[in-house]
Amino acid sequence: MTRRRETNVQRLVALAFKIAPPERRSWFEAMAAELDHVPKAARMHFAVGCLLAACRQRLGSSQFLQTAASNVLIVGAMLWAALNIRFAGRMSVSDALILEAYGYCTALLFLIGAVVTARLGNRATISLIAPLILVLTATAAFIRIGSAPTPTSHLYLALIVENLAVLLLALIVAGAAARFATVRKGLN
Amino acid sequence: MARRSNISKQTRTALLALLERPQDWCYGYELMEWTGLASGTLYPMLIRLCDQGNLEARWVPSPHEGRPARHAYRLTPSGLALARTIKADEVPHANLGKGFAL
Repeated sequence: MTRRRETNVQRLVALAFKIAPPERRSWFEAMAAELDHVPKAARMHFAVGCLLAACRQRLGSSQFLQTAASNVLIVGAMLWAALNIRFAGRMSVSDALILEAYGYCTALLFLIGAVVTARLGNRATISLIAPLILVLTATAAFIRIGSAPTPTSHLYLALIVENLAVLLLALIVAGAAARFATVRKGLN
Repeated sequence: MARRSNISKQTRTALLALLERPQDWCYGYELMEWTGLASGTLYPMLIRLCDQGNLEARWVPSPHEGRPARHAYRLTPSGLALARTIKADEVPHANLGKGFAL
């Protein structure tokens, strides 16, 4: 084995150690120690395996998934808030006061959601989204059943259904992350 | 009774290999040679077996001077029971030492 190849093997093992979740580092110390007892011809193969194992452990760690889910929710909520501010801005030009207020309120709620998710995590997001879905569903039902079908009522209904779809998507992401964390806790 | 549902073929192979030497401490590379499993498959499996309480691990000083200590593995009583259950069912299908596969 050339010196360069040996250096690459060491680099791969060091990279695996860095990628591995902190609670699993001792296992990657074990792999690094074992490398010294692996025949030189098989070391590259062994080191690649270490790297794959580290990636699998990292991707499967509940901390990583929780963080990834939180980031998706935060970015998604901020993006949706921005789109609603844009919508409210357009409505202000056409003097549609209710729609303008609806756009700004939605944007504010999603910004609050992003802050809550960032500070308190995915479970807090679920507690925030669930009652909001109920309120929006009740409002949609009221508009659909209780008011005459006009173009304006259809527009309100469409906006509410749009927000409901986004909230349901966020609920699925937050719920899946929380459920996965519970399952992992049970396994460990 | 030992839990044996959802056990992969690779895990069964590793458990059967460890059962061959129930009292001995085995090293990672030895297990790779016996089972034909690659390090990327074997080590996550060893981690999982340890988490489930079926495998114990310890550091063993190397007999060769200047070489690092090695991590060694052995089945726990519950791991032995699990491996014996698998062996009772699957010995005719066990296929050890096939060579490496990534």
